[in-house]
Parts: sequence; structure tokens; C-alpha cells
Amino acid sequence: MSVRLVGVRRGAEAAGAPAGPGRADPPVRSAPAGTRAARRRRAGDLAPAGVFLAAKAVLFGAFMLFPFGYTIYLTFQRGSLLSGLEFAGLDNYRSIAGDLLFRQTLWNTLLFMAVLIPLTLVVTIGVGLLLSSKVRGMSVYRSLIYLPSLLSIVVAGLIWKMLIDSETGPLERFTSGVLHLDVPWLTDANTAIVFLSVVTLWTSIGFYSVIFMSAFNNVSEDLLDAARIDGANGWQTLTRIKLPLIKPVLQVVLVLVTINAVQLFDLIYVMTQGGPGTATYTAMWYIYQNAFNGGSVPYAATMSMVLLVVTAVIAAIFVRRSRGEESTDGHA
Amino acid sequence: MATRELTGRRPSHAGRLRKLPRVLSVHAVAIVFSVLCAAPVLLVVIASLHDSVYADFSVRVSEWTLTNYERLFANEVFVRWMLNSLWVAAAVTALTVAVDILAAYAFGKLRFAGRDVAFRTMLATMMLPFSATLVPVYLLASELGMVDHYSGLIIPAAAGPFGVYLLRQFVLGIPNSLMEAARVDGANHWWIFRRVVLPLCKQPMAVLAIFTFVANWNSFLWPLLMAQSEHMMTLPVGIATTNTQFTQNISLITAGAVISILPMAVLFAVFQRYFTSGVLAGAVKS
Repeated sequence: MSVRLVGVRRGAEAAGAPAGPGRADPPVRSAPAGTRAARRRRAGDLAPAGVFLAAKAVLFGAFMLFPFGYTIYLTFQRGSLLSGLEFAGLDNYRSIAGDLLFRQTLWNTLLFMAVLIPLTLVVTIGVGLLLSSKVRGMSVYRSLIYLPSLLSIVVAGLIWKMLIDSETGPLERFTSGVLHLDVPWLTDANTAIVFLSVVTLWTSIGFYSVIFMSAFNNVSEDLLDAARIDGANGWQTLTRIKLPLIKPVLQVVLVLVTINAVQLFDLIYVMTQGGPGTATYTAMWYIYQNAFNGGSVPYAATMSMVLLVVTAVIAAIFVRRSRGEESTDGHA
Repeated sequence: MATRELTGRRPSHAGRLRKLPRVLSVHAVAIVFSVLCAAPVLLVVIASLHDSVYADFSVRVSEWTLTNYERLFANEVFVRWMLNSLWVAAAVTALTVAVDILAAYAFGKLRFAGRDVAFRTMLATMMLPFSATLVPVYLLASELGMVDHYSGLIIPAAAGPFGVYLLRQFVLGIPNSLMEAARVDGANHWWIFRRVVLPLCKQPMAVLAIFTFVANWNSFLWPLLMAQSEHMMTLPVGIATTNTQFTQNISLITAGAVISILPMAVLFAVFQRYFTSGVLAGAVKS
């Protein structure tokens, strides 16, 4: 699935990169200068390549590759690092299958995704479209809309908690005082999930909208003019031309939103601590509790593997949706 | 707009008048979203200007005071958090950009055995949620004695593959002829890297630096695990876990929040074109 994230030439050029001669992607592999001598000379690049790669190889190996392998190893162990690990076969997986709280956390996470993903897509595509329209003063709006994306999630959570404070929160005062609604912001399970989705959207609206904005800006004006001459209205232009053309960006945003939804943690920490009850216990929160607040480390590792598989399946479904639309060139 | 594009002339007066409803509605929607996004931040700024136990959002300017800020800047622990955040974010950024541009050059322009496999492996981990490596990374960091040290806050945060991936796209875009010419003249890899690759990759490196800095300034979960003692905490961790001195006073916390926002706002104001250039958009595009 990751393979689809490669090959970014267009973006590189759009961003004013030194894009070489025209649109050609010049990987050394297909370089025309491939005489035998040149090739033989390049075969000797292993030594300098090692020098350039060493630092990243160490960092990446130690803090990405090895830990990932070790997570898999841990899922088949029991005990703790202090008391010693022993082989446990599939026991952890069996326990997870019967763990009602984990099932609930997965369900909570799925619920959160079901609200957050459509909400984020609709709003950020809309705002992206808005920002890409050539109207005077748009850069001011763009800055204001981007503002929440500069905040730490912790700060964002604090802000929204203040806004709904039962005594002094302006939002709470508005809903109860003006609208006469008693909104159980974080005290009702479903409302809490929706509210967390809204806050999450608020923290990312600028980031994703700007991504969509530049994608829309890259859509060729000629195509849009042609559509207009053919009598297409705004909605048709959007659904038949703009959206299909930005599909790759759409996919990536989908995957990013999905991953962030699965990893919901910071907001839970500052806003609900998993409550009410276990209604906002997300998978990440449960893993954290198990790994670092006196649970079983191997069990936490197993949960993270299950979570990974669930995420991968969901992301794969999203990405497969549009397979065949463009060529996958494997590794660019 | 259509008029201008079709005829290449400025739209006529009548044309502009016809578009007026559309332009006005665009402004209206944009204002609504701007308010929704910016108002909560504005409210927190207002709250931080009151010296009160509860959050106070009143806009009577005569009541406003900078007491909270004075108190925070006089507070040793809080100042330490600020400096920690600054140092950690800057160090992670420097380390990430330096390490990643080196690797990007190797992946983009050098030929070596296993290059494609190695690059594909890195790419695959880009989709790996942090949860999948979190526990062992923590174990490893504590094994290496990095917990509660700057090394633990900084080094593991620079391991991700994204920067390599982003920069490699730009390195690939550098014409091979430039490098061939240099090599014919007897230049070695280091010279090519410094004189050809670095100058041509300034912009994406700046973008990577800015986004890395913002992400690490705001990062929470990893610093939360690494900072065991109060004086090693970064701002978000400190604000979120405030246990003793700040809890009684909401307005003090809001001032802390504003202080954590301020540098990012300045960064955005100065480097706005990098934030909105779409370089990241291009990079994440498949």
C-alpha cells in the first residue's frame, strides 16, 4: 500500500524544484548516460553511499525497524522485561480475542473514524475549494483558517475544554442560554465521540485544506474552461473534473486522516481520560495504559499489532477503491 | 473569471457586477470558517489577560493585565519547559534535515546494491502507526539510558522516513548532466553534494525544517514518556500534566497556552509561503 505513495514528480515541480529538463523523472537507473564504462564506474558507489546513508541507517534501524520487529517478537511472549520474558505462543492473541475492553476500544476507534473521516473530507475539500478561488483577501482567510493547525493538540484540547466549561464556557453558555439546549459535551458516550471528532477536525482543517487548495490550483485552467464552454455547472465541474483529477491527493489525505484517527491519544489525555466510563477509550489510550501504567508490555505490543492490521486493512480498502485509475510504477 | 480567461481581457464592468453575488458568497463562507477557526484562539488570548481563578472572557480592556505572563516568566520551571521545547524542537529539526538530505542524495543519485529494497522498506514504514513501535522504542531508550535526558527526547524523534522521502523527490529532479559534468572535472561525491545538491535543495529542506520544528514543538506522547522529571518536560507535557502550582489558576494555564502558540504564529507569519506552498501536498501526492 505504501508503494502508492511514491513518485511525486508533479508536486516537486509545482513547488518550484529544480526539476531538470521537463517532466522527465531522472532516476539514475534509466539515465541515458548508461554506457558500460559509466555503469561500471557507478557500481563502485557502494562505499560513498554508505557514508551518506550511515546516520539515517542507524537512526532508522534502531528506532523504526528494530522496534517494529521487536513488537512482533513481544506478541509471542509473556512476563515483563524485569522478571524475564518467556514464550507464550498465541496466548496474547487469545486473550485479546476475549478482551471485552479491547473490543470496546476498537469499536470506539471505528466510531470515531466513521464520524471524523467523512466530516474531515467534506469540510476540508470544501474549504480547499474556497481557498483556491481567486478572490481578493483570500490569504488573510487562509492564515486564520490555518491557525489551529499550528497548535499543540494539548493546547487545542484545553481551549475546547474551556469553551464548554459548565460555569464559564462561552460555547456552553451559548447552547444552554441562547439555544436552550443541554449538550452533554463529554458526559454522553456518543456526544463525546462526535465532539472529539469536531475538535480533531478543528486542529487539522487548515493543514488538509491547504493541501487540497494547492491540488485544486494545479488543475489545468484549460480543462475547466472547456467544461464551462460545454455548459457544465459548478457542481459538475467539481465532481466530474476537479475531484477525479485530485484523486491521488484525496487518497493520501484519507490515509493520513485514518492513521491519525487510529492513533487518537493526546486529546483523550487532556479532555476525557477515556471517559465517560470507557466510552472514549481508544485503542491507543488502552495500549498506553497497558504499557506504561502498570499493565503487561507484551499484551500492549499484541494490541498494537492487532491495531496495525485493522488500520492497514482500512487504509488498503480506501486505496484500492481507485486502483487502476493511474499506473502504479512500483518504486519510482 | 471566465471572461478574463476566455478573452484575455479584463472583465467588463457589467461582468464584474454579474459576478458580485458569487464573490460576496465566497467572502461570507470564508469569514464563517475564519471565525470558527480563529475565535477559540482569540478567546484563549483574552482569558490569559485576566487574573482570575476561573476563565474570564470579558473584553473590558481596562481589566486586562499581563500578570499571568509575568508570573510565568518568573517561574523557573515554566521557563525551563519553554527552553526545553525550543532546544528539543531545534535539535530534532537540525538532526532530521542533516541526516535526511544525506540519505536522500544516496537514494536519489547513487547506485548501490540493495538501494531499492532499502528505500522501499523505508517507504513502507511511513504508514506505520507510532503505536506499532512505541513500546520497544521506549524499552530501547530506557536500555540506552536515554529516559529523562535530552538524547531520549531528540534522537528517536529523528528516525522517521518522511524527510528522506520528501527530499529524495527533489534530489531526483536535479539533472544528472550537472553531476556528470562535475565528476568529469574530477569532483568527488562530497563536493557534488555540497556544491550541487545542497544549493538546489534549499527550498524543500526549509519546508522539511519548518514542519519538523512545528511538529516537535507540539509533540506530546513521546516527550510525555521520555520526560520523567518536571525539569525535563516540554511545554505541551508540562501544560497537560500540571500538577501543583498551576492547577488552581486557569488563567495562568491559558497564558502558558498562548506562549506555546506564539512562536508558531510568528513562524507562520514569516514563512507563510512554505506552509502553504503545497510542497508537502506535492510530496504526499502519489
